[in-house]
Amino acid sequence: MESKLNEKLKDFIIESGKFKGGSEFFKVDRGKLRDVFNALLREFKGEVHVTTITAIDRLDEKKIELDYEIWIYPIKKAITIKVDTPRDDPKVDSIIDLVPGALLYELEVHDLFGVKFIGNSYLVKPFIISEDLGSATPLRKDWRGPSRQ
Amino acid sequence: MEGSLTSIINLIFGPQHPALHEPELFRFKVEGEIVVKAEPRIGYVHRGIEKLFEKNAYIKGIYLSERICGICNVAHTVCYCQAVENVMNIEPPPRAKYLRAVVHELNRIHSHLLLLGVAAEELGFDTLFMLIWRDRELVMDLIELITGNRVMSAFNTIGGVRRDVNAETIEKVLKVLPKLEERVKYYRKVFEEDPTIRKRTVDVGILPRRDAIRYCVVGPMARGSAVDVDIRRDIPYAAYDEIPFNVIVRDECDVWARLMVRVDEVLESINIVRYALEHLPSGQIRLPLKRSAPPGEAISRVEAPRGELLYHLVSKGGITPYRLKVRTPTLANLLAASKLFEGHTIADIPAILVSIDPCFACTDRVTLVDVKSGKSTKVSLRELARRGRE
Amino acid sequence: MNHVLLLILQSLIFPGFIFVFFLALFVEWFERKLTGRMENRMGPTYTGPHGILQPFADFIKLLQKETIDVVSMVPQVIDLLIVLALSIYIFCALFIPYTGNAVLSFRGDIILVPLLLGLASSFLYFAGLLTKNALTVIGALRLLLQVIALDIPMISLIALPAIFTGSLTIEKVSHIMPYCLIKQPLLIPVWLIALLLLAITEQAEIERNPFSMPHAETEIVAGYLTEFSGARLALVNLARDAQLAVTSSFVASIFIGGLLTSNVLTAKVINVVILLLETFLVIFVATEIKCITARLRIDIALDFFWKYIIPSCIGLLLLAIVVKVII
Repeated sequence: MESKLNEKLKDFIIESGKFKGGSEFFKVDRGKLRDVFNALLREFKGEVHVTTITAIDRLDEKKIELDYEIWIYPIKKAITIKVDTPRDDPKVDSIIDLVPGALLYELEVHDLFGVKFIGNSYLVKPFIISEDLGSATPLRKDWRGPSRQ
Repeated sequence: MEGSLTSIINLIFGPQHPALHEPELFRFKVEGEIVVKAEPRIGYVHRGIEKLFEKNAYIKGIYLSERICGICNVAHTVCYCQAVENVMNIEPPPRAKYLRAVVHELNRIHSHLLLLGVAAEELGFDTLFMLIWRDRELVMDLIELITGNRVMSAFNTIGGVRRDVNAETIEKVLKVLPKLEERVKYYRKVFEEDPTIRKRTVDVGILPRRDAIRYCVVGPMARGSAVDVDIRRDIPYAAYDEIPFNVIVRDECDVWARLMVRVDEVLESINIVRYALEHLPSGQIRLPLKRSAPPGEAISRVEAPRGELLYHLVSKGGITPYRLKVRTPTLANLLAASKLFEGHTIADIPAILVSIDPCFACTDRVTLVDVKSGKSTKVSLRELARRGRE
Repeated sequence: MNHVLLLILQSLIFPGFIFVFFLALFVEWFERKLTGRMENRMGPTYTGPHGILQPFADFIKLLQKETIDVVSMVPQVIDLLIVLALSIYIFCALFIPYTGNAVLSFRGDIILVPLLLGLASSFLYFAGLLTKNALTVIGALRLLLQVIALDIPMISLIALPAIFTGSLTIEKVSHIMPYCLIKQPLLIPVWLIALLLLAITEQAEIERNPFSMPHAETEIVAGYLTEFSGARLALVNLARDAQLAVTSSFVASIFIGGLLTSNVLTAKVINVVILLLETFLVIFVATEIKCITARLRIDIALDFFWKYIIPSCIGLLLLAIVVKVII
């Protein structure tokens, strides 16, 4: 089953590697994100669990990286799908119709990093951050705090 | 109040409410006694912790991660330390791993007992609540014996644990465990057989397995819905690859199943603690502290009492992390929970709420909440009072 | 003149206002202390010996606090309703033969007293309803449903001592009661079943677990009591304690009875002691049931009442009539 995973995703993977500690990650083009998820869901009969969507603001490389941390039940394997999106116009397809549980993570990334998830109609700002911060995206590296905005 | 009693009333739970032990807002639209729609809104305990991590050294991060949640603080520090240790390419000595498992399990017992007492209280069963919390004191005393603190253990550090146990401590702990086990077996019988509890929890808040997976629920909430997952067994960490234990899974999918999963997990945890202390390897308890980490990324997953806890650490060298992402279990369960309320009566709200084991201090570090209509949910105090009166 | 003066003194002091006031506070302490000990904790301990002054201290404290009025309340009417409820409980106390003779007594008062107790409950319901808060409305609704459900069992159960003793006066029933069972032992099993049903119905009447839905703490904050504060809350608490005290005294006097008929002063004092002890016994049983059960849902409780309790009570009543006729 595990080799099938590599095979199925072969078409989409740009780069693959391992984190320190052993878990695998696969870099994927952001246009192919939904295809990857569709493939995974088809292969594993929907038993795919999205733990979270980690957003990393890579200031030097002028991109925001989104890490979809996934747990696949049938093969008991944890993998990460990495997607890059440009910092000045961060947009990614939403996956909430494929995996409804990812809703809160997309909302979170939207609120704190300003990434737009196309197809997610629930996006709203501000949400968890305080109202007086308005449309700020606090977790970006160049955010200097409310008093200095 | 306009209209008849059967028109839709907005019933607001929170942010302060006797049913909630942490501040959050649930706006329930009720018709008579039936909940038609539930909209949670969290963020009341949002403290900007992820940003704080980026500004503090790794060693300070331990204290920060511990304070994300008081009840499951051991899980947070274990996960954090593991993530940092992975990035730094160091591995704690075996004795430290066993001790981590011991305190981790004691923390789990304490958390589950807390929740079971709270569940009893939510159902109106004050006596059971008082008795369970009285026995939880036994666990608090054990944790104090080993770590020096009743709640905030301050036990883990990067590279190992901070305090050692001697033979006398081990003996004391092993003497208390049978007493605790006997009490918990009695509570198990109560939860299993008491008719008033069963009437309030059986067939209430049913979450079918398919939905449990689609909504990405974790922990006892998932295991109560026939989803067989436990990080301790599936991605073993600390000493769990060497300690035998069972994963409790139930297929009734209702509130009762989730409570029973927790009771049985307490019994399993007691066995784990006993095994770990009896097979404690000798050696050091910690490695010399490294202050800075090489560049790299690491993910650490841990089975906190409420479910899967994930830390994703990105390091660009230096003594502070570049990015540290924390995903706590209650956030994962919140979406499914807000769907569970619909179709049930108001009296079922506390029962369902407590079966998620909400820990909003964990959830709010950085989170958001779904409002189905997408409208802003910021309401002023006056508005809340007015809505409460409608 | 003398007679009227005596009546006034009795209404104000014993067994009227002052007596009910202190009995209510004592009953609250008794219940709290008992609940605490049953839950393996201390209960009130520090105010006064064994914490006996705690309810009194709470009452005084509440009187000093601010009464917060929500805009949509009609405070005068709410206060009136609460005072009326309290007055009705005090009025009912005058019918209970603490000394062996009730202050007010007439043939048929055994039907009047439960009616008045139910009326007082409904006043509290109206007071809750008038605060126009989502939580209080739900609590008041639950209270109403509960009262409707327990009315029939209450009346049919109260008819039983009347049937056993052949009298409709509380005073007479309390004298004849246990002795008539000894004379007609066939009635004893009927009496025991009646006690069981009574325990359940009484729990619903005084809104304790498993029937504490109207003021369910974890669901609707405090139900119909939510918006009360300050002196208003002090009075409401007093009213609810008086409800517990008077209802338990009433039930004790007609189901256990055993008061002496003599008019000697010592006999009267002994009667007071006997009736109070019986009252505490009733409260003990109620507290025991409260401590060992969780709270039901209103629909489950109503289901239980309408499907099982009401038919049982009516059946028991018919059985008692049949047995009495046979004997």
